Amino acid sequence: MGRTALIRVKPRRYKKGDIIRVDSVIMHPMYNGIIKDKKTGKPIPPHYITDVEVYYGDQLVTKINVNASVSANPYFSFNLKVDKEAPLKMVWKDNKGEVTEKTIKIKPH
Amino acid sequence: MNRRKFLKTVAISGAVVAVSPSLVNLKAEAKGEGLKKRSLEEAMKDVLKGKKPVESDKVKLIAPSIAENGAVVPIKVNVAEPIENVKAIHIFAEKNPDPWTVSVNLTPQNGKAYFATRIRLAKTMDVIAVAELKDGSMIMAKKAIKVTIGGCG
Amino acid sequence: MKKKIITGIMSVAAAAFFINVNAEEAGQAISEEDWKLYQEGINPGEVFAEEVGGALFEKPMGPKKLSCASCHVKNGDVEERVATAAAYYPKYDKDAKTIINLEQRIQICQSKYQGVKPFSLKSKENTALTTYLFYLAQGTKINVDTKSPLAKEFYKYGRYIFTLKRGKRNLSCQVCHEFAAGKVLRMQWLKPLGFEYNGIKGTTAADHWPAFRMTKNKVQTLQQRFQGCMKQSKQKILPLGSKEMVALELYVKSLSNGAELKTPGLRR
Repeated sequence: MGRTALIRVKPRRYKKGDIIRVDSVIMHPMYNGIIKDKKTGKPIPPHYITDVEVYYGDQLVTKINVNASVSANPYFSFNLKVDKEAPLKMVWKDNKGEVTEKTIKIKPH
Repeated sequence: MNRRKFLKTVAISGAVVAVSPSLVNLKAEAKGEGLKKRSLEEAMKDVLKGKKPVESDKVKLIAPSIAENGAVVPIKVNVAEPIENVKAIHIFAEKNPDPWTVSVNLTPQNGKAYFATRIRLAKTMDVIAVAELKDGSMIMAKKAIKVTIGGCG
Repeated sequence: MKKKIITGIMSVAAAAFFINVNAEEAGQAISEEDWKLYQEGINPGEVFAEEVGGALFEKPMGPKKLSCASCHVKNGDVEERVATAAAYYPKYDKDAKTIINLEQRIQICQSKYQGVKPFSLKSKENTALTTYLFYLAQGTKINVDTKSPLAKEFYKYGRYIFTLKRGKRNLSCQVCHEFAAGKVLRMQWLKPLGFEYNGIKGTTAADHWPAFRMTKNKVQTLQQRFQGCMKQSKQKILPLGSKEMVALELYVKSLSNGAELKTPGLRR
């Protein structure tokens, strides 16, 4: 639902209790209100990701507060201790209220 | 004007600025919407709730010394403290119109106090990473990043 | 005679400019170690390839509702021939009856087999499909034909375009990527486009284009990148898909024959 987003984990195979790295990208222009439209010369109104929530099962494990000076197509990387089989869900929200969700399965071997 | 001399002068100027449109405009006055305009001190005071961070070896801020361009600068932070001790990591860009860039709130489920992202830098400046610890104290590291003109095209 | 002298002086001036820059700026460019920091994590170009290109690859189009996948996916996988195609273009095409690049082949597939008006060479869609095919071909060794008679002709023409000084600054690709290779210009290393030239290590450019351009926030194909170079060096921009551009692409790509595709790349 929402924009194109990708979640990748490293390593792809892991054991219960390991600490893995979670990488994420969401395709979003991150207009900061100062960047100008090349064609009109006018500043493009602010449109940027403001919050990211990471859920592991039911638990909110990470929350990111984002300002407009994060690069376009925001990339966020953090660690996760994988001690159970559960979905990993990321929810991105932007200043216009658009919400994007992406879920992957965490399945320790 | 002697064209060769002009080019030579431009080439050796220290703080060279990226010329991609997004960065030229980051330098312009913020019109109030989107990015707040504040100084580094103000931004840090607001975000860190008045607490002053102390420089510490425990905060490892990894970033390029010379960034290929100002639109995408990779930043990586590792804090040498058990995850249970680290509440959040905050990143500031000294000379951006609004120096506060991003904050990550961590929990013990993260396993390690690590965070990486890519940020925009309007020009050559310091980037500061602050780790907010469980006891309320703040430790930090900073790194000077030179933002280059970004070559041809 | 006068023209020759002026050309001669301009070449010296161009060369001298680079020497001046080098003396002051030696070392003032991103280090290999720092460049690696850019490559950690996810390349937005891959997201573009998979999600945008991949979606278009599977999108049914035209009167027969055919997608690329309709013809080119067998047993759940993209057939080998198509999944590795990116490594062999530009090459001779039976439908076009001349040498074309992958972007143009996609257009022929669309018009001839899907029965639709093809996406233009500068469209996001054509770039996405091209990037997707280059993404599928990751790891394949580049192998552009330069031996058959027509390929040979295109190779020579491409080399000619590469060395031809054009525009206000009287620059050619060769000036930066051979004569001045190893020097620093505007805080960027100038490098040869193949494996090496004159002892200076090259970038094997063709193995990482199409690439996601960080300063442009989008993926560009190799010919689109050539257009960017031409604009910056004040040469008249050659049209995408023109004989000159295809020849230039064939020449530049052949310089990396044997290198494994690492596409899409990630560039400034």
